[in-house]
Amino acid sequence: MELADILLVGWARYRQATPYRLAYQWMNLAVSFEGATQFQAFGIDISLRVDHLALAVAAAAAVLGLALTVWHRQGGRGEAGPARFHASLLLAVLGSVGVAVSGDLAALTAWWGLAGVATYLLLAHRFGTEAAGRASRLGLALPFLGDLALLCAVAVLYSRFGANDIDRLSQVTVLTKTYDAGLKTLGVAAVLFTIAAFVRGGLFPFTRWQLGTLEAPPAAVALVQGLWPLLGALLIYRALPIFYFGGPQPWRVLAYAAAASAAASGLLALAGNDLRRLVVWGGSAVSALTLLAIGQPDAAGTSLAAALAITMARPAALLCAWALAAAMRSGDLADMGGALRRMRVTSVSLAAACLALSVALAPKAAARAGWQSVWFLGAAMALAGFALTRGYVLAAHGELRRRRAFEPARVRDVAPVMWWPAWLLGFGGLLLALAGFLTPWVAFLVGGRQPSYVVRTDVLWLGVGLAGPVLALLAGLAVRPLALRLAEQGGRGLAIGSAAAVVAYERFVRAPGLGLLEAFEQRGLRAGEGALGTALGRAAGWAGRPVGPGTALGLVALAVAVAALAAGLLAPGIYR
Amino acid sequence: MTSLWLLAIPTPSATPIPVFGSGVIGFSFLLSTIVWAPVAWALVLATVPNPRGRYDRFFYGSSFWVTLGVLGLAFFGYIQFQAFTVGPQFEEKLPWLPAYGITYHLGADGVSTLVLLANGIVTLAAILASSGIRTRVREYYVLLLLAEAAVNGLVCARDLFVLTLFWAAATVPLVLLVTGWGVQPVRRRAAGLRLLGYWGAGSLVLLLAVLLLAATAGGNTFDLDYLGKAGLASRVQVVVGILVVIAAGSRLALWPLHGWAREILAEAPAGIAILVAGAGMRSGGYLLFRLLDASLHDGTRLLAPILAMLAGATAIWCGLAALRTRDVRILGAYLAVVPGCVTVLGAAGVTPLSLDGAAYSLFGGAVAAALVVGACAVVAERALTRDLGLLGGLAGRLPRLSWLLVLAGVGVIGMPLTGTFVAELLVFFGSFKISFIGAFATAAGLLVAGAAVARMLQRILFGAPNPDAPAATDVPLTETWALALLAGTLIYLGVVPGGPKVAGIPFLDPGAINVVNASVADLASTYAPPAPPVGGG
Amino acid sequence: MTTLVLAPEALLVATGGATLLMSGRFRARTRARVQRWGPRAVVAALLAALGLELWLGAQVGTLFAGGFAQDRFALFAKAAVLLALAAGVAAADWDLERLPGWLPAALLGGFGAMVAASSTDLFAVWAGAALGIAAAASTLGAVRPVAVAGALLMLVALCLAYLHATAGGSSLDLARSALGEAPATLPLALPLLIGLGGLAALLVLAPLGFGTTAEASPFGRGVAAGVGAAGAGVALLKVGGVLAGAATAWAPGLAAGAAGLVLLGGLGAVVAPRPRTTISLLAASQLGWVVAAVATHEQAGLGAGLFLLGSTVVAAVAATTLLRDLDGEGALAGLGAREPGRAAALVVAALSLAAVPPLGGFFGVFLVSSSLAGAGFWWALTLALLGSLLAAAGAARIAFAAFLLEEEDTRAPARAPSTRVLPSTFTGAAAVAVTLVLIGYSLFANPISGLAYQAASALLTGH
Repeated sequence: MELADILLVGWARYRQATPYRLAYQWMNLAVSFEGATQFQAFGIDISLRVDHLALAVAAAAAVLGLALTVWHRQGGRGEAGPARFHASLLLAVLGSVGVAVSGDLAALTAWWGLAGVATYLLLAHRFGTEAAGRASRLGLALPFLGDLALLCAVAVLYSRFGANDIDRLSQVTVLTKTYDAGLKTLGVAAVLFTIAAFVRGGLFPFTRWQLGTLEAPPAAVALVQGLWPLLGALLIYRALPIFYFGGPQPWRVLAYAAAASAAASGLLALAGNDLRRLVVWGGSAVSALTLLAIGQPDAAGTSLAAALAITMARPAALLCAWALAAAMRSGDLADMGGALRRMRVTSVSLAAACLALSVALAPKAAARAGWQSVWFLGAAMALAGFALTRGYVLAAHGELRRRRAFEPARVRDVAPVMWWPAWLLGFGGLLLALAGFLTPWVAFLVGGRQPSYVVRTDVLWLGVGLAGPVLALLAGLAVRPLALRLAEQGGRGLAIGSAAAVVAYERFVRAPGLGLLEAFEQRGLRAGEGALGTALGRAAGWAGRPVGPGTALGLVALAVAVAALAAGLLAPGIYR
Repeated sequence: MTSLWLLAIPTPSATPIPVFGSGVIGFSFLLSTIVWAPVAWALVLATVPNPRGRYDRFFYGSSFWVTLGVLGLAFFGYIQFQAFTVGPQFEEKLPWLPAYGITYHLGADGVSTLVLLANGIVTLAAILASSGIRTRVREYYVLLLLAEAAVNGLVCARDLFVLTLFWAAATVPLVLLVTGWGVQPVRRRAAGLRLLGYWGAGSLVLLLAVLLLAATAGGNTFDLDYLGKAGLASRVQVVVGILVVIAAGSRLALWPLHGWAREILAEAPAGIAILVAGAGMRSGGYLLFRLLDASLHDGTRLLAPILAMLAGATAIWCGLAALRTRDVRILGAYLAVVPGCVTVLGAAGVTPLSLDGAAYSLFGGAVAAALVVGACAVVAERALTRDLGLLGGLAGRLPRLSWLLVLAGVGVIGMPLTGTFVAELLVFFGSFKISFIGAFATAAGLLVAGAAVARMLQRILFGAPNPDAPAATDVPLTETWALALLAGTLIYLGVVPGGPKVAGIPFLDPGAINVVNASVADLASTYAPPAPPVGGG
Repeated sequence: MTTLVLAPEALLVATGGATLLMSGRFRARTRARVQRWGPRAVVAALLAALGLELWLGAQVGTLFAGGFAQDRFALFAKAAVLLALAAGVAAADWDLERLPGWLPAALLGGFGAMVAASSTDLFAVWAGAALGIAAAASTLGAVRPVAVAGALLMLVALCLAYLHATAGGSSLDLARSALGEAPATLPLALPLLIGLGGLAALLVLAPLGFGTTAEASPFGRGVAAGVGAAGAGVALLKVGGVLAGAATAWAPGLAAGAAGLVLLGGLGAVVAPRPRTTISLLAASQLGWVVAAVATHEQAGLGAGLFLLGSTVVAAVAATTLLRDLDGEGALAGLGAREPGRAAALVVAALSLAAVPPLGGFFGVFLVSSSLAGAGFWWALTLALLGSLLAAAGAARIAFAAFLLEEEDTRAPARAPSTRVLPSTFTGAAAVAVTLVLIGYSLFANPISGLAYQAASALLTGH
């Protein structure tokens, strides 16, 4: 129903370029009668600012929610608390739609946080195992950094500009002519927006909370990894004016961070043979490339089109990877193979999803935008495509070996009811990725005049996008053992490195810090209180003792006389 | 006598948007009734004969109904509050010790009205959570009612003598409650002494501040209406301000005055822990609001950066300490300090919006803090252990309590749908202009607290059950109700801060944030950000 | 002014004389009646005297060619003394006390304090106070207290003699006017400090039994604490008011001494092992505040001091007497369950002595603190407040032991052997009445403090 509703609204607003606005007052305060006028009143509206992009993002969230609900009905049969799961899923979709249609940054922050709460509930859905407990911790602690960063960013902007409204904060006069607000404010806010998008999007180095929660129900993981990168990209897009007028620094921060994240994620996707981790790293690399691209001139539209495609394709890839691992009783690519024969639907969907992720950024690159990182973009696309398709090739082709207590002949595809979510997301993602080449689609999303494409360039960049998958296919088919061995060694090295990093963190950061704290709390504060108590006790004992024969008179009279003489002689009057 | 009545009748004023049900009830002596009714009932309970504990349940039940009545009166005051009138309402001003300039002056502005409501809800939850008390029941409820009266009294006080009296009066009943009914006989006496030490020292410092304020202002009066506008020299304001911050810090458990919170909130029975965290600690924030922000403008401006840093340091410290501890009740105690840091940051933000947030957090933070210490106490009680190493996998065994604990956790760190989120939103929006670093520090503290909450929920609820741990017993209904009352309030505050509206007209509830803002807008005008110079930009 | 104003004193003396008759030889049945009704009659007489004082004492004037003055100070001080005596007699357990025991001495001491309150001559003040203090010290049934009190009274007499010489007469008005503009010099400061210090020492030593631990009867201890303190307090306030003009010479010294006394008392009360000692130290600590009030040497301070003196003597008498033979660690355990009225009165009195709000002690201490702040004695104020904080801890111990400490929690015997299972109706009612009086002192702080304020004006101006 929600999807139908969104589509109806989309139909109605198809030809309307200006966003449709409607606001419900949530809070409206006349906070002061003096001072700067923009600070005399404060209000937060639950505002609907329905532009084409908002509709597209909302539709994507609804489609994702729909597909995953269907998938979970079969795939999550054994899960406890189905009502809790579906409530959390709907809450997450609601939060995402809210973020999409918010025209008020404060309200956007609230919706963002609401989606965050739902994400936590989804990732903490399972309980009773160590892994589930770990997932619940990671699902709350780390992403909360992103929520706080967003809150601080919006607060910094309000504290200087006195406005939350997105359109108002996009006006040149407001951003450049507001008294007591300048580049520094915009720069800080932009960097905080970047942190929020990176953390919630699960981009390197914040991918840990997505990797660590793979034990949650697959539909939940897929929803989280599908929605948040899209919301991150949307956030950066909404905040683009802040970046534009914040000087060169915010751009550099965003571009270099995204580039480093994409490169690192791509390389990490090559290490190890765990299919699901590989998909997470690969997807993270592509999402990072989206953020790298989104800020480039004339590239916002195609980048958002890519983000929409990724929103479909990443969940599809994850679900398929989960289905393969479940059917073959192992997530290790070394134990997989022959899925194309035994699990055709899942394998084909996985291939479609990997292709979609590989070429999602191609239209962006093909936009012939005059920017310098074109070569890096090409390399990164190829790397991500190679890494992702490696998983498909090694799982879908080759021989599925017999193992102890595992009979390959028994491997079956997922239940038919789970097929169409996989098709929908996989091929939907691929279609959306290719749709990025269509100017009308991009123009529909962000409006304005979009650069017209040249077929030759499109084909060239499509080729660049496909280069990774093709190479992976060839390598996987030709030298499978070598590929497996190299990846395994890389994975081992990575494990050793991360273990060393964890040990170093424990030894040089956590232990000393908490030791210091413990020292103050226990030996410092407690001891201080104890010492004070002891001192008082001693003094009191001394003071209490005189209450005996004779000494009482002596001591009290002495105290009075000495104090009286001392203070009396020092009295200013007597000095005179 | 007639003049006495006339003095106590609140002056009505027009409200542009009349709240449904407003202006129906004119209530004289509303505040005196709220403050003294528990005392009167405590005296009754103290004298009722109770052969062989026959009427123990009567003590519990009657205390509940009396507190419910007080809450009802506080709610009347809340919905009758004229949100568009400046200054205190429901005023009662009688000469008390005229020779010494002391008046029995009570009054409630928007902030007081809200805090009264919070105190009522928290005390009701405390009594519900005390249903399991079986020893010395009479003494328990007498002391509880006296403590309730004290925390309500200081909120209504408009005369600094009255404020100091109630501020100090809250200490002894709570000390006796902790010492007499503490969980661990070995540690409860030390905990009581700590409370007496910290709160007593705080009272001493507050008394010095009050006396210094009155002595330098002249006028032979302790009335806030006069002292608040005395316009003291900046140096005096700073000295008084520092004393007020120390006094408030002793209640809010600001670093390094937090030593008592760890002990008291961890050792007291659930009901008392809820009362201390929800009402006792908030009185520190209220004091900052009433004495620092409202009365010492120059001093506040000068102390604001230090205060904001103190809030950040406390939040970070308590978050880290909560990460470190293995005792679930101590963990709850540290987390209960965090909402107070948001209040302090708001008070230090010195912009109208941050002050709105600070005042709102006196309610939201109170409920969240009470909920987290209450939930942790119930968990420790039901799971028969306080050791996080032993606890685990309770989500399946105690589902209702699990939801409440999750809500308490997200409430403490201020995630959406909770009242603390609204408070945080306002505080941060208002604070970044003045206390840039302090605001970031507090945000960092919230982040660490978030990690601690995540660890708490992992260890207690979602992790693997511990086969060596004692079997958890189910939570009694009254304790669930107590926590559910707090949880419901927390969510209500987060969802409709402006109050529910029917066809655009407020329905029954004028909206907590509107009631708060009615008073804050007045006192905070002096802190309004400066208008840009002509032609500036 | 009519001589009727002397009626309370006359009634007091008459009652004292009548109590002597109780020592006569009676038949067993009559003896039982006397034992039963004697103390009640004394309480009735004291209450009647109090009523007469409040009714007749409202008029202001002098008698005996100005030798006797009835002003607001006299009214307040005498009413406080009568109330303290009534509370003491009512709170005592006359099944355990001998009759007439220390009743005549107590009434005589009260009369002395009343004389001091109405006198207009330095030596008459001294004589009245000396009578009160000596009688109070004698109720402890030991030589040492009398010797100690006597020695200190001699110091005070030396100071008064110096004043007589300086002013050229012993009239209070003469001394007041002579010292009105006296420059603060060392020769002036020393004797004044010694005299006022002596009175202050007498004041705070009264609840401490003047430095004795003799096993006096509970009523005797109560009388020593209340009447002794009243006598010394009245004299201290009166002399302090007279010497206000030369305050720069002695006020800082007295403030320092007072702060030290409050602090010492508070410290002692925290750790004192026996409830009796704790109560004594609490009273001593609060009486230190009265000394501090004198050091402020202005109307508000002296008024606050008088107000506090009234509250303290009543609470001290009541608490000391109500303790009766309960002593030693854990002796109070289970008292709240056995005798709730007595326990409540004891705890309320202890909390009032520790200035715990909202009891009378807190009102008095706050008012004195305000005056100290006004006089600029911040250092003394801080020290004294610290002492009161410690005293609150001591009082909390009493409250905890009386109501929250179960008998099985302590190794002490559940109850002293001589304590009856149930108190007599009169004793129970008296305990409740004492509680009400102590609470009423804060409830009716308004007229009481107003009267004290007027009394202070009389002290400073002499009319």
